[in-house]
Amino acid sequence: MKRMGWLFVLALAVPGTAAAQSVVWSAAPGAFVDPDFGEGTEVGPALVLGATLRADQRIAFVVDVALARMDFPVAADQLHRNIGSATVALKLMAGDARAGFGLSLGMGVLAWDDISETTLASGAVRTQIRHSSPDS
Amino acid sequence: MTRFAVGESWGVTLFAHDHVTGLVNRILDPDEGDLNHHFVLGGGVYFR
Repeated sequence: MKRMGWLFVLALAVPGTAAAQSVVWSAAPGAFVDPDFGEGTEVGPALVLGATLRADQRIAFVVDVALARMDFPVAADQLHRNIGSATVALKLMAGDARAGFGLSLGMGVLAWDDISETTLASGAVRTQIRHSSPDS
Repeated sequence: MTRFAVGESWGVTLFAHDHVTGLVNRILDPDEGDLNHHFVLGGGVYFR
């Protein structure tokens, strides 16, 4: 519960600090890459939705939500992993209105859920293995 | 993260994220688990 407390503090601090500031919204498809997955690297599609608060300032706040999916075999089963993450970060921006570059550092939560395609295809009861982990 | 304006209120963005999982668990309990990295690479549009 201590870790959740920090997330609540950040969630309350960011909107208050950034009130009445400029906001930039973004939507971006991408690739989720896990280099330490099983015997090799797994790659899956991802979608990242983001909001940058104080976007015209050198120091901005970023809230990102990412959704991704990976497909992988385990023995005779075909599984897929649904991944979701939410991150709050502080971003340092350089550049001007035409082009900008930023570095951000933040903290959030990443959760994933493994689902067996084989079990689903056989009509058996759907089983899920749930995991969750804080990330940064 | 890079951002390039195309119009007055929109543009394109490219990014690379490194998600490090297990950091909080390690701080709370140094004997628990390893740090793992996941990467998210992408590009899309932004608007204001």
